[in-house]
Order: sequence, then C-alpha cells, then structure tokens
Amino acid sequence: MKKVLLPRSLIELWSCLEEEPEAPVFAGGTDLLVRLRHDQSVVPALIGLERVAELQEVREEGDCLWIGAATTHSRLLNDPRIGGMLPVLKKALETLGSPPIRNMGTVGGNICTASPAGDTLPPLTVLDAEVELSSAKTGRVMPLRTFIVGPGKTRLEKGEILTAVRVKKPIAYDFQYFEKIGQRKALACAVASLAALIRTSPAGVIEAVRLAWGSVGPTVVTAPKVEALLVGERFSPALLEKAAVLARQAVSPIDDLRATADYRREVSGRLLLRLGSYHSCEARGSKQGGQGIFRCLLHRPVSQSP
Amino acid sequence: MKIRFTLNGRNTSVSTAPDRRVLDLLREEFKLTGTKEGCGSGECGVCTILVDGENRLSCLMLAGQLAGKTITTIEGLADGETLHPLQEAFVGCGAVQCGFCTPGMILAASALLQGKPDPTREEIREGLSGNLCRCTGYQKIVDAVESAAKAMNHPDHSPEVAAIRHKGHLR
Amino acid sequence: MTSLIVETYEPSGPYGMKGVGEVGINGPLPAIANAVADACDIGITRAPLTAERILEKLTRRMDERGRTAPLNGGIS
Repeated sequence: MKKVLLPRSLIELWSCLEEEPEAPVFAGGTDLLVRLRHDQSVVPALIGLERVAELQEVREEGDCLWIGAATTHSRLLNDPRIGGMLPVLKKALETLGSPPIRNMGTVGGNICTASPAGDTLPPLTVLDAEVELSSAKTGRVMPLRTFIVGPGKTRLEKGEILTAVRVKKPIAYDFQYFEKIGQRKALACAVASLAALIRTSPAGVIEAVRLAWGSVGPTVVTAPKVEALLVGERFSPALLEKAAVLARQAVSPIDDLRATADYRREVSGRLLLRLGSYHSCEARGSKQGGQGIFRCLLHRPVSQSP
Repeated sequence: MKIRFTLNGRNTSVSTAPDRRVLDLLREEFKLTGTKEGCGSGECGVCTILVDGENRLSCLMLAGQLAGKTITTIEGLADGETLHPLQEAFVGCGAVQCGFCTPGMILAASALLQGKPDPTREEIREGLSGNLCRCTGYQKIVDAVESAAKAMNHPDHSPEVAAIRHKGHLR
Repeated sequence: MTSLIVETYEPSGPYGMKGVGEVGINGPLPAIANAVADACDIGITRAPLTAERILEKLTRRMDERGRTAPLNGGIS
C-alpha cells in the first residue's frame, strides 16, 4: 500500500517531499497512474498537487501570463485570457485527450511528462514559454526549449517541482495557428502537429514567423531555416512548397503503431502548405464557399491588454 | 485510512487503502457496479463518475483523492424511482444496445448539459468524445442527449419522453 | 442502406443463434472505399481507410501524372 499525500500549500508540499523524497509527484494522474499500473517498481508514496492552492491559477504579471502548473486543461480552456491572447494554445488544448482527460490533466503535467506528442508543447514553444521550477530552498526559471531534453526527460531535479509556465503575450504576431493530425478527432495521440505565429505587413509580406512541430522528433522540432526562408516573402504555393521541403529535412520522426516515419515527414511539410490557405482566407475575411473550416483553424488574437 | 466524502447525496466515510483505485472502491466496497471498467487507462470513458459535477475517470483516481469531494455515480442520478431525463431519453430513443458504455455516456452527458443546457449536435459529439460505444454508431446517443436537453429546458415538449410515458414504461 | 432480415439456423450458436454485429460493416466498407475511388481516382483495398493510406495513393497517382499536390496538402 502506498501513501497518497495531497498537500494544500507549497509549504506542506515541501514537508511531504522531505518525508517521502522517493515519491513521484503527480497532478492529474492521467499519465502517472497509467504508467504505475504496468510498472513493477515499488514506490512508497505518491504526492498529488491537485490541492496545492498556489499552483491553480492564471494571473497577469506585466506583459506575461503566469499559468500555475496544476491548472487543468479545462480551466485553461474556460479562461477568456487564454482564448483571447493565446489562441494557438487554446486550439491545442481543444485537441488534447477528451473532456474527462482535460478535466483531470494539467499543463504542468503535460510539460513534465515530456512526451514527443505532448499537445501543449508546440504552442508553448512558439510562444517562447519559460518554466518556473521550485524546491524547498530555491527557485529558477528556464526556457521550455531547454527544460525538455528528450522523450520523458526533463531537467527537473530531485526535490524540485515545476510550479508554473510563463508566457509573454504575443503582441508581435497577427496570426496564431495550430493543427494536429491524429488518427481520430478525440482521444488521439498526435501523429504530427504544427503550431505557428505569423506577422505580416499590410501588404502581405511575412515579417516574422515562429514554427514548431510536435510528434516528429524526440522533442518539439523547430526549424530556423524554414522561418528564415519565409521572412520577407509573400505567402504563395511555390514559397510554401519550398518551405515544406526544408521542413521535411528538419524533422526526425520514427515509425510507431500510429504512423510511419515517412507519413509523419510528409505531413510535416503538408501542414505548412495549409498555412498559406488559412492565412490568405483569414486575411481577406473571406466567406467564400467551403472556407469556414479554414477560418476557425486560424485565430487572430483579441483583447490584447497592453 | 479513513476517507470522508459525499457519495450520491449521502455523507460517507470509508476505511480503505488510499492508493486503491476509485473504480475498485465503488464497485467492490459500495457495490455500485454501474461504474464499469473498460480499458483501465483513460481511453474509453466507461468508468466515468462526476466529481464536484465534472466528469472524471475513476480508473485514474485514487481513493485518497475522494476526501472532501462530492461524487455522483450512475446509481445516484435517478430521483428514487423517477429516472433522470437523460435516462428516460436513452430508453426512449433506443440509445442503448449492449449497455456497457451507457452509465459513462449518461454521466458525461449530464456534465455537458450542466455547462451547456442547449448544446448543438456537434457540441454533444464533442462533449461525449471521451466515451466510446462499439454498438450504436453514436447517432441515437446524440439523439437522446438532444431530446433530454429539450425535455429539461421545456419539460412538456419532448416527443420521445412523452411517447414512452404514454406507453406506460415510466411512472 | 436497406437491411433484409433472413431467418436461419446456425448450428454453432446456442439455440441456433447467429451473431450479426459485424455484418453491419460488410456493405458500408466497400461502399465508402468505392466513394473514395470515385472522388479521388484511387483504389484502396485495405481497411481502415486511413489518411496515411489515402495520401500515399494520391501522391503516387499525382507523381505518375506529373501534377503538383493540391495546396490544401491533401490532409483529411
């Protein structure tokens, strides 16, 4: 029998960790409890973060949104600041798991699980998210990019937990985009996904672009070469075809039971091809036939407070 | 370890191992076998329960996490012998075939209607997307939730429920 | 879809019963495969008709005819 410790504050959490230094820490439990069922290793206790008050809120701190690590995906989806300022994250959260999984799972859990297919990771990467790590004695902050080092591997140290993720409000980008290719619409592990932030001039020239792919490498894949190719150009099928070729070189997918590496590589490029059609019809505000689906996939952030 | 929580409207206290799955506790200790085990890993939704009104998966919850919470299982949805409008609608619309997914479906639907009393068919599909059914093809389940929503919003105007009332299947 | 129920006796089942669950997909599956063939001019002969299999055939067909992929990426 394992003890289940549910501290109500960070102070209580630190004493739990002191008492049971070997205990795994979990938030929603949607990954850990599945893993423990198949894991023969004996752990003396489990420490749950679901009741730690300090980890359950979203607040604005200057030009950042501070998201407590144990905030559930559902709470984030219902928070108008997420939908308003970070539609790229909202879109990813909508595709994550299923309603009950979103009622249980948390953003901190999605980050610390560090799955190559973690749905919040590509959007948080293009948003240049930073993670806040704390232990009983110290705290530190580092970019999400450097925090995750491989499948299931992070730079979290013993006695340390992820307390929050900090995201700058992406005022510098006009358009946010997320699309996930899975085998089904719900409860699907991503076969490939793409998050993008784009800024274009009034004349339609791409001024800045951030891209990140999920599920096509050991961690989130970024491709500075693709971004560099796009900047200074206008969206066109020919440009995106060129970008897609570079994107397919940047990714390093594997075969698994959901898809072949070849298919993942192929759609990593094709997701980019779609970016142009979404962008152009959103920019025109077009209501022409069949384009409704494009418009709901690409979001212009609203209500950006200074 | 003693755990206190509210189960189907009653204050409850139980002595159990805190790392026991809530699913097992409900089925074995409380004999509430309406909550089923399917995949045991959060992918099928048959172990759905309501925790403080939200649909969650009892196969991925530990008994210790129940402390202080309000839990509803499928057994707690009806008001005595009077079925919940969702249960009436599932019967009336033929939304049940083998019945294994039904408790989870109905609880997920009830959580959905709590937040969205008048959902579109697409919103119903989305709300139930964590619950798998291998018999019905989902069509009649969506019909049932739509019909229950109508019945709950306008108690006198649900044709399906009126029809089964008429046949005397329900009191 | 129209279903015709035919009474029969199945000696391997209890009381002559026959399972009919999976029979429901016997007609729709080829019908959907034929619809894909009609729409995209590709023949898929394996179930399920995954996006991966359809894209692979579409790409091969386009390579053969020397056309570029559609802008929407052909992802369903």
